[in-house]
Amino acid sequence: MTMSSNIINWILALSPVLVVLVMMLGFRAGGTRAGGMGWLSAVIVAVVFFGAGFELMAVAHIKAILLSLDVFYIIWMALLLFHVADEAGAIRMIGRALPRLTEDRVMQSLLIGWLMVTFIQGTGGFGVPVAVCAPILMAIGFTPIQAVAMASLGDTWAVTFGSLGTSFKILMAVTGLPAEVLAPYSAILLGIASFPSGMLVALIGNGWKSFKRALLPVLLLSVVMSVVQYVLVTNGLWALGSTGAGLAGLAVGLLLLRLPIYRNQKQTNVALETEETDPDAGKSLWLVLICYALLILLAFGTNLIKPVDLLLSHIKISLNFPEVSTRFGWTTPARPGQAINLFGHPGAILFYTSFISIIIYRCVGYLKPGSMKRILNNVAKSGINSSLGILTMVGLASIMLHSGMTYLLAEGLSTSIGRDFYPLVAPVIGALGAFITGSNTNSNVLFGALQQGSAELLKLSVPLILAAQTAGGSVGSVLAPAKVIVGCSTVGLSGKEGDVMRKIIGYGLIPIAAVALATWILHLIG
Amino acid sequence: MSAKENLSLQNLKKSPGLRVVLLITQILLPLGLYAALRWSNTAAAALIAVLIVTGMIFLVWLG
Repeated sequence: MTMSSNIINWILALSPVLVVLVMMLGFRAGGTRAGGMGWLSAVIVAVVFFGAGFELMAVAHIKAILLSLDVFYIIWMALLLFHVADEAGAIRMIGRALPRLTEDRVMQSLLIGWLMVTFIQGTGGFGVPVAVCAPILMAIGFTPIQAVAMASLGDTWAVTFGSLGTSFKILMAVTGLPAEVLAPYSAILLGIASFPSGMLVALIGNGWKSFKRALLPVLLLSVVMSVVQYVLVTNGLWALGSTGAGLAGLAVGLLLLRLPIYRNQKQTNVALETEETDPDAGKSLWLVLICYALLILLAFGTNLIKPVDLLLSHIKISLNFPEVSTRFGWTTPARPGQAINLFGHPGAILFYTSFISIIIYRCVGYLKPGSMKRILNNVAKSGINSSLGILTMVGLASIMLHSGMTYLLAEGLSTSIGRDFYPLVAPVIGALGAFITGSNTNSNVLFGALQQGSAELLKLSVPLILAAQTAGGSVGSVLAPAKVIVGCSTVGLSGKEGDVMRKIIGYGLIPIAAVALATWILHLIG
Repeated sequence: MSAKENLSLQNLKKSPGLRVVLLITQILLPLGLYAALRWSNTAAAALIAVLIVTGMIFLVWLG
């Protein structure tokens, strides 16, 4: 038995999310204040209306801390890598090299904000692509808000098959369906989402005047990336879906730059420094970019070479939690909390990369005396605010999950919609779960079984509905406040996440609508 | 509130040290809560829970 699914309970369940949205969008509050308000309202609603007791709240909060630590590991190490690269001059040099490659602002935005983001999403996770690419976009002349918005929206389509397919793997696990069943529709829907994703990157960076200019390259690149992703994931290589798509996109994108039409645009507004004032004079671009090459190498090596993977996965930290129930009978079974894989974690990979990069940069003299102090200061400055914001957001998500609020939201949506329109709502449920939890994976854990059950009950195609779930989750996760906080951390927007949310939330609805519409059409076609 | 008091309040809000302390306590307190629950020490668990909520309210004020 759970809470009865009526409109009042549904609105109550939604209220913590509404508080966060109103604070961030209406009052332009930062992630910490908005998340804290959301957390407090979730505590009140869970205790007063959803029958959550002391033990349940304690378990929910402790689990949230474990999950937050897992995320902090990534954020702090991503910040370390970013500041090491920045101190060595990598960001400035990319910022200057790219306009030499192409002076076309649309192509510059697509290359970094869409193609590179997709490629990094292939192995990175929880906001790493945005944290890495947003500063590069800034370096080539986009504003910080534009940079975060572009990188976030460019990532919307790449999450499910990104992070070596973690979200997809979880979807298979919770539904018991194999990749052969789930992959085709998932790849089709995400492929469809890639087009609005690319267009939005171009439009946010360059305005509506760039619509016509962006149309052709975005169409071509989205077809290339979607086809490559489809071929990979339907042939068992779902762990490499986004990586392969990103690589193919980058290759075709660089080929496009050889066409005169994309080389001879008006010069950018990036001020090029003279030799005398240039702190990076004499540095090799290839050597300075070694940190990103190392990141790719280590991410692949540690994930794909089995003995290395096994060796690094030996030590995991976790805690066991008892079963907890609300007064109304919503039960969360006993199970271990988030396990933190100390040496094989994405954060650890980022740390190894930073560490080796520091040694190389010091050997070649790219890091000057006093650099390390500056790097660590900058990491701490941006890391603390982001961490506090994430702590509150993850805490809010965990309370909603353990008190049955999240499930009630999805159940309310799924039961109030008839068979004909359920395919339109399925991606919205996926997006909602990811928006609340900040993760496509968590959304699939939460709602995978619910969507499967609803599809069976309504006699809809189960693979199609589950594909809609994960595609919606992919888009929704990028719009989540918890991820926006990570993106803002490397461009000096900590505490101003509300401004970025205002920018991306409306645009983000476009890929969700595209996925919903595509799901509906595929359902009608049968 | 005088301008001087207002200024010192603003400085307090911006203080990175205070945020570090808050972050560390908000991470450590729930781990303490876990230990208190494991050892069935209800009084300690309740006290820690109050501290967590207070910390969160303080965090909202800090922004």
